[in-house]
Amino acid sequence: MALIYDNRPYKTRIQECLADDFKVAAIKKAQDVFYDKRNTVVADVPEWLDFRAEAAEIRDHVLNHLDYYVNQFAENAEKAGSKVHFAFDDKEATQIALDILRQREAKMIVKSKTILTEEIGLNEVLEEAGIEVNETDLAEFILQTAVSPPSHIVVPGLHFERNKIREIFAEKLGYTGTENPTEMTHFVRGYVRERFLKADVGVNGCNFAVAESGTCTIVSNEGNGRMASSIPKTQLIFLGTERIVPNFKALDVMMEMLNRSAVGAKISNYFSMMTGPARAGEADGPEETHIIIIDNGRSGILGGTFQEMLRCIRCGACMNICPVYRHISGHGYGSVYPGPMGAVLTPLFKGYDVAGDLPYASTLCGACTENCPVAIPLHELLMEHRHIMADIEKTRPKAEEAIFTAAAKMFGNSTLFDLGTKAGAIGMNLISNKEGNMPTWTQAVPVMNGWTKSKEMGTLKFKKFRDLYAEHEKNKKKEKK
Amino acid sequence: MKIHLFQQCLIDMFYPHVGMAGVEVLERLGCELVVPKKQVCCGQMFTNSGYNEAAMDAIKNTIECFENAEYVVSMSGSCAFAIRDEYHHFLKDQPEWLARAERLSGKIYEFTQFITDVLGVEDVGARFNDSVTYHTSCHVTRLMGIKEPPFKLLKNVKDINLIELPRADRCCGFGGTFSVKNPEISEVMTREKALEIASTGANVISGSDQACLMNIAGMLDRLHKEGEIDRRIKVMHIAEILNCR
Amino acid sequence: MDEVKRNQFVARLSRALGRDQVPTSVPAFDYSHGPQETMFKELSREQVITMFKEQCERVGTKFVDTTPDKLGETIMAVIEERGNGKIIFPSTSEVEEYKLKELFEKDAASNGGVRTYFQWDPAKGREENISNTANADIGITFPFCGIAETATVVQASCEESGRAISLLPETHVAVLYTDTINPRMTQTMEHLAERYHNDPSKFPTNICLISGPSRTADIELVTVDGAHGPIRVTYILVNR
Repeated sequence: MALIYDNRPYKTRIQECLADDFKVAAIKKAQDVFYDKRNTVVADVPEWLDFRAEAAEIRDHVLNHLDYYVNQFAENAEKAGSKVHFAFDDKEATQIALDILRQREAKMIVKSKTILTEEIGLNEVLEEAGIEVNETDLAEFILQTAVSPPSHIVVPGLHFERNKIREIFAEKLGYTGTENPTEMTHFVRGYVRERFLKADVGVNGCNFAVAESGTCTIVSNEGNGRMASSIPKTQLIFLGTERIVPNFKALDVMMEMLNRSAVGAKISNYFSMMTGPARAGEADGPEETHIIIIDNGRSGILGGTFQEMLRCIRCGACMNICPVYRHISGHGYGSVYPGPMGAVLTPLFKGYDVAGDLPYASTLCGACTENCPVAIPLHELLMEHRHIMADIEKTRPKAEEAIFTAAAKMFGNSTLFDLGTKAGAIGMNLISNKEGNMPTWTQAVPVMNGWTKSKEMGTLKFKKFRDLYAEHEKNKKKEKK
Repeated sequence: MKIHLFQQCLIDMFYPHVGMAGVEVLERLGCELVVPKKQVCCGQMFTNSGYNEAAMDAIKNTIECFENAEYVVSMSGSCAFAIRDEYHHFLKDQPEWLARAERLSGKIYEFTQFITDVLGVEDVGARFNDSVTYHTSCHVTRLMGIKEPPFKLLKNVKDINLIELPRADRCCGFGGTFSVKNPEISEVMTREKALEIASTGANVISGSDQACLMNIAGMLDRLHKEGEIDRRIKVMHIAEILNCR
Repeated sequence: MDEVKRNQFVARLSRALGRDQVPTSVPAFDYSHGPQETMFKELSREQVITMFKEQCERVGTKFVDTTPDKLGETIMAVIEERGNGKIIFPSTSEVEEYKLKELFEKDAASNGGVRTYFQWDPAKGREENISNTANADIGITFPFCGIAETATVVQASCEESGRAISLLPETHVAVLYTDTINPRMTQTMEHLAERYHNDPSKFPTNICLISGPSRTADIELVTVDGAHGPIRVTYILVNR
């Protein structure tokens, strides 16, 4: 999967999403469940806002010294016996991985969930090279089997109902059981277990890398991250440059925020901390561990207007609360990074040409910002994107620019405003229907139809508020006399 | 106490009676009002779309109209938010205007916040005999942090039957130009909000941001017209309720 | 590590941060203002243990209380309760201390094959240990500490006790001394930092915080236990 997996126009994508009743209902339900669970576990912690402030400070501290911490992490990781590689971009990263696999004549790998490898399109590169890639996270497994993109970063397979999953399993894997989630999960358990035991290489992401010890960590509930890092002889860890914390103490704070924000739990069922490969004498665990540190556009964000975005810990809290995501799901964004965080991040990675519509997929209601465990001002960053497109890079459609420029003149000057609205009032009152609303045919008028297709619109009033107030003032003066 | 009233352009154009209700409530509470004639719009609809440069006329006009006031009261929360919390960002490269914006920032209040926090009044002596549910607009509640004031005021209205709106903090789908730029998404968001409002059984939906109310009204009316909501639910700015005796 | 590449890579970050050299040191982050340092500090040992048990109940993790002299008995009872079968156990010091190997050998000789036992033995190598564990129904481990707030046991891998024991069998039985239970993750992380800095060469290569069975909710958010690892977990809490 590439970072942007759906290149069709934004409008096409969202219309398709809005028409998918099951998907919309599934996402709504997930949001409601996560919202309630998150609120419950957050309410349990009266110190939540203090934790949040501290978490944001830790992230800023790391970002402001990222060169130092990358060095420190790399040195300590090598001391612990890991091999550290550096990749400027997706091509370098996948090439490094491919070279490692080829040297070991790897034929089959198992992967635990990592969005970073989707960002760099790892699976496609490996499959093209004839290597069998097995996604092992249940949702990722379903998506890989169905050949479908993720609709959420934490629970990416929500858009499939159980019957559909049963059908896919039956067709592609010869599954003969029912659509019962336990039965299907345990079917996958058996199917994937075989591969865990046979795989040449295990691939993991990394939630947080600890600079003081060279430790990589994985948060998971399923335990597939543990499998991929415990059984195969070779381990590959993909690490986004910014996902470093200074030390163990920081992990405590980040875990406090991540688990509660992501799924509304105090902790994940597993939190693995891996420091180097297994030592001589250990009878399991990787014999060699490779850590690939990836920039892929991150250094371009560092030190700039959008640096705060690099605080992101990929918890999904912003999409769990976003009222727009609620209806268009991850597929509306067409990016492996959906929701508000994706609407900020995707254009930073891929540019406004291909992702310029995403910053407008928000009402700027601020719910994302409020829910972000590391206090990223997401809705402000969305506005910043809009500002850059409209005022600095001037990439918006000329017609839009003309409308806004003309309207801004009128709304910035009371004389022009009064003239314009008077003319408007005459026009609107002439055409209005007997309820005093705009008639049905306005649903064919550009811009206006954005409103009147689904909502009633009243008319501009001949007597504006300021007119009424002037009369009111006059009457008061009369009374006084 | 002398206060300058920021009307909000939507109220000026479409809902003048809401502005007058605000005037009457504030005057009854002993305020001496000034309504600058040259005021138009805070500029938020342009800055929210990224057109910060085009918005300068509106922003500077607003500053000029209100910078010498002692208190400024806004009839809509989102405008108060823009003036109080956003102007300094848009003017960061214009030191003289920045200073003027910062001076104004400390003086502006949202309507309900002004009554409870500055005037110190929680019972305005209103009587309203109907069932009311309340939409807590995002800008007022989440971004300005004004949570209690409207409820303090409504609880003291005699005969009112106040019903809690489920998920009241979820955006109504307006988002300024979002509503016409993303009409398909806005529609489903507002529809969900309208149906939640209808589900409370209340006859009136109130709020303190006329933009959200306009959006919600447009949907309620359409759903009523199409038969999806069985009754006409009235949309009233909180000032209108507080102005009932 | 390719030093040239590393330097180029880090230099790009330095440039983005507006400097042409990597700082040789950075100010240490001050955690003392965070709430974690003081949370639950006032709790007594008893209260911490109670918090651990209450959280177990909240998330549905089974636990049984025991004492050192009854540990063998309790383990046997838990094995039976969890359906018997093949049992894998480590070769750590606790096994010797409580003469568990002898206990298991004695049981194996007389139970008619209802329970068979395998010991994790690094001398037997990777294949045999992993295959024994993959075929086991129950894995027994001795986590080095617990966390009360989240009902977590902290399991380190070592030669004598591999990663697989708490991972591959359908049932995981964790034997935890109650006096090792910390209130929060904070103390665990402090401990790990200390342990690392005392001797990095002895730091466990794999440490796992385990807080229940292997779990998923990826199909319509329905919770299912046993996605890949243990379907069932029992904590044996030893009060010494």
